[in-house]
Amino acid sequence: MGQRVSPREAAAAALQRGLFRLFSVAMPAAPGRRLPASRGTLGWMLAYILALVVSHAGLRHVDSALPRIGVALLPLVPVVALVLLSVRRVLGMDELERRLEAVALAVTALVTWLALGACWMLEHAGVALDPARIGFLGIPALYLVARHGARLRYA
Amino acid sequence: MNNRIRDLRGAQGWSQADLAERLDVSRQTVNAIETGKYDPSLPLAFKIARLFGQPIESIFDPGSST
Repeated sequence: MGQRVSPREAAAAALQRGLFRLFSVAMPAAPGRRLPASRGTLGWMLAYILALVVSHAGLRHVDSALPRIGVALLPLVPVVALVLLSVRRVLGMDELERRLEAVALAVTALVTWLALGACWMLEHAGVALDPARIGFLGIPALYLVARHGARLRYA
Repeated sequence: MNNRIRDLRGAQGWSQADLAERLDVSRQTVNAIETGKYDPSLPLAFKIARLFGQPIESIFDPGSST
């Protein structure tokens, strides 16, 4: 007999499936199979999003400076966990995947750095930009493109 | 760098996935090595040579680059 699933549970399951699919493309697994990202990674990613939401909402209710900084830095906790998991993921890759990762990260880091300079110049020229917002969305996209390019070139 | 891995693998009747499993790398890595897109590290090259029971220089030809 099938159990009734609430719309909220269905939405959560759909989100989880989507994130699994997204990360199975972005993150190749240890020896070489494409991985679905580990449940730990997904969990911390969701924790990061939740921390962003809580931080955003919490800042409206906190007035003094120091607590505001604490609330604003709340998302750093899952960030540290995600970085550690990411390092573990790379260490588990085989040598070709590590090369692809290195190329993608090198391209992403260099383009990000140079693009920030270009953003500042554009701001001096009077073009209103929000580099942080552009980077938040653009860096993951750039990483995926760079990784795809590296795969085409080396694999 | 050219290599004879595809021939040696074929002689054993192994698929790329079979060889990848024996070498503990991805099938994609085996494919990249066979097509000359990727030169394996020295430890992996030795592992390949040991697996096929041949000297490393009889499998890899450093003289001609791809």
